[in-house]
Formats: sequence, structure tokens, C-alpha cells
Amino acid sequence: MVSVETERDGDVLTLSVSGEVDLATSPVVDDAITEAIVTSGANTVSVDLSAVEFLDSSGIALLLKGRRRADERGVAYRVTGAQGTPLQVLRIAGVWGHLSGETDPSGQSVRP
Amino acid sequence: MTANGDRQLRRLRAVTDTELARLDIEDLLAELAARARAAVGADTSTILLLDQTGRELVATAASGLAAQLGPGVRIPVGTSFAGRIAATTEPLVIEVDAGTVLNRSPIDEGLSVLAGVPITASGKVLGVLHVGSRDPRQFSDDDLDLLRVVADRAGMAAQARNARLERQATVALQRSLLPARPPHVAGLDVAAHYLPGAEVGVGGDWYDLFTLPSGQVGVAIGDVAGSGLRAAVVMGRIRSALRAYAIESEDPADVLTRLDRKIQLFEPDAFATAIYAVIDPSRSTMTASVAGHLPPILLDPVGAPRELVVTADLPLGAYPNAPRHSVTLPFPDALLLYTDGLIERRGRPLDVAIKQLLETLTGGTADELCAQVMALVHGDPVADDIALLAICRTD
Repeated sequence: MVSVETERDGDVLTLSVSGEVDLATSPVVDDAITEAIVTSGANTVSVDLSAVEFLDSSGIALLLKGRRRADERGVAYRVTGAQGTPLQVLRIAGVWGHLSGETDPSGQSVRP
Repeated sequence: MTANGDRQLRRLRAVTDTELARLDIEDLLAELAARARAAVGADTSTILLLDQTGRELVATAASGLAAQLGPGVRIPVGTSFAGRIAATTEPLVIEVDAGTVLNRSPIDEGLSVLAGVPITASGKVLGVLHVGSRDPRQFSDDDLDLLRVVADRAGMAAQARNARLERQATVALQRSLLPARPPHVAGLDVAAHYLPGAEVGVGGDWYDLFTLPSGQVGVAIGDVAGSGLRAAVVMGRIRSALRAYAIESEDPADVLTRLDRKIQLFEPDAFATAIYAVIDPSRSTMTASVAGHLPPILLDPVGAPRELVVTADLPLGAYPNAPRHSVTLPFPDALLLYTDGLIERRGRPLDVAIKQLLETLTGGTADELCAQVMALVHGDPVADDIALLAICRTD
């Protein structure tokens, strides 16, 4: 099960995802992120993963898709708060820096 | 209860009989077509299901007049009676007289009244249930309600049938792409294993091993996001494109860069993790590039099994022009490549799972390594697919 809460603060839209993001639940998160980027009109979209307990490759895929979409539309996009196994998964996949903005813009990520 | 209500209830029972659950899907559809015809007293009934393109209806089961046509009549969505119901997803009754403009399909031939309802499941149109009468008559609201009940039952059957057909096609595609026994390569002992996941079915995991004209050996493993036929088809394309680029370039980072560019252009929604490595002709060094994939495991005669320490670049399809890197290292005694289905479990941290995997490996032949890894999975229901490739040096 997964849920997404949306909070708007001026131009910043924060999506708080909780639960398990897998093949079955990822469309819910994907739709929420797509809507935030494409139709909400916010200029910054922040995806908070601090309450996510499980994340598989379909979860990685949708987070990366969000980054690409956001860049195409000039929306700032940031993934935050991942911890535990989801953070390990994102780091091993080499995408955490790319999503969180914790590394330089060349895309070079550093494995901890 | 009124006589009419009582009759309706009996008719309803006839089409919702629990005995139907015993039938296999094709027999069930045939039985539903027969019962629909009997329940509304029609001369003919046909169940048409959408094909994989979603653009044509195919007569799949029939009773009465239409049964003589045999299965396989195809009707484009949007045309003729059944095609119109599929397009609008609304029930439809038509009385055909001289003034009716109707693009007739073979199953409408000779009928003066047609009634049909869409077959849907989970909000999607899967087909049309269609009855007809040679002589003029009325189809009442009760008749249409009965057809809807039959269509609901047919919808469940059609969904199960689609899932089965897709699974069969995917398995056939997987089998053709993933040989159980990789080709023999001088100086190497190779074993591979593929285990389809229970939950989501077969999907986009792949492995590959081939000898290049230079005498080098190319080794790949990967995982295309998603599942089912679509993921398997994309996997097939990515796998053959990787082979094509492997002939063009000896640098794995360059091969994956070209592959990534191809995916961004031609499969913009695809996303895959992969490792591509090249083993030199003397089997003494290996150069690898990692696109978001779990690191390979290295085994040597001395010391415990270990992960290759490498900075993973972004997965394929993740972002345009992602920088990629290759790392060169001495070729180990044995190399194990795997996909995430092997170690990703709810409630278990990834580092714990990788540590457990490392502790499980005791060395031996490529087959023995695969067996050691699969013993770890044994009895543990796996949701996701697992692909495994073990490569040992033989000289």
C-alpha cells in the first residue's frame, strides 16, 4: 500500500509518499508526481520519501521520470528524506545524487 | 414475487450458475454464449473479444446461427453493430429495416433485431456480447440486464484469458532470448539461471554472453522496469542493440552510452539497469560499466567473496547524456552477476541481503555457484524475476 499527501506552500509543492512503492503501487505515485509537475503550476516540486519503507526498480524509474519531466518544463525537482532500505536502493542504483541534488550537476554521484 | 420477477430470477440463475466456475476459459465462454442466447430467446449469440491491438474484435465463442460461421470473424472497432458497442461502451439495440444504414458484419447477416452489451473488466472494454433475432421482436430492459450479467462473467473470463495469453507469449519470448545453457566459450565455465517471479509474472530480466571477433568475451545482465509482454519485448530490443554496439566498440562505457542514446530516442518510456563487461582474450582482465545495476560479486581462491566496488552510473533511459564510466580489474576466479529480485525483500535491508548472499557463496563450478545462490531463495516466495549468470575461469 502507498499513499501520497500533497501540500502546497506558495510556489512549492511537496508530495509526501508513505508505504511501499512497487510495481503494483507505483502508478499512484507516478500520477501524483506527473500532476504536480505538469498541471499544478508549482515552480518547485519536492518529493519526500521519509515515510517510504520499500522501493523497487519501478519506484526508481518513476522518480527518474519525474526529474526528466521537471527539467523539460523548467520546474525545480528534488527528492528528499529517503532512509533505510530505500536510500540504499537509490544509492546502489547510482541515482540518489541525481535525484536529491546532493552532487554536482555533471551527474557524477558518489557512493558512500 | 410476481410471475415476471420469478421468471427473471430463474433466467438469472441460469446464467450465473456456480457450475460455470468448473469450466476452463474457452468452454466457459462457449457456455456463456449458449446461455445468453437461451435466456433471452435469441436465434444467435456471439462473444467477441478485443485482440491485442485493441483495434479489432475477434469472434471467440458463438451459439446458434453464428456458430456456423466458426470462430475468428474479425470486426474493426467502430464499424458495424458490435464494433460500435466496443467504441461507445454502451448497450445497443437495433431493429433493422429497409431504412437502416448498417455496415453489416458476417455475424449480423440475416438478422432483423440486434442487441448487444460491452464486456468490460476493471473499467476497460474487453469485448462485446451480441445476440440477434431473425424475426422482428423486442428486447426488453430485463433482457439487456441479463446480457449485462453474462457480459460481467465473460469479462472475468476474458481478463483471465488475456493474462494467460500474455504470459504464454512472454514465456515464449523469454525462452527464445535467454538460452538455458549459454554458449560454450574457451577458457570459461558459464552457467545461467532464470526464475520468473510469482507475483508480477515474467518480465524484463536478461543475461547475455558472447564472443567478439577480437576474441574478447562480452557479458551482460540487466533488468527492464515493468513486467509482462511489454517489458519482455523492450528487453529483447535492448539486448540485441547492446550486442550490435558491442561489435562497434570495445569500451563498455561507450557501448552503454550508445545503448542509452538509442533507448532515449526510440523507447522514451523504457528504463533499465544493466552491467556490460568485456573479458580480454587471455581471460586475465575485465572492463565493466555499471548502469544503476547491483554490483557483481567476485570470488578468488584467497579471501572471501566480495562486491565489486564501483560507482554506478545512472540506469539506461534515466536522463539524456548521462556520463558513463568503465572500470578495469583483474578477472577474478569467478564472477557472479544477478538481478534485484534475488535480494530485494520487504522488511530486509539491502546491505543485510547482500551480506547474506556473500556468505552463501563457497565457490566451485559455475553450476555450483548458481545452485548455492538459488538455495538461498528456495522456500522463499519471490515476487520479482531473478536472473543469474555465473562465470568461472577454467585455466
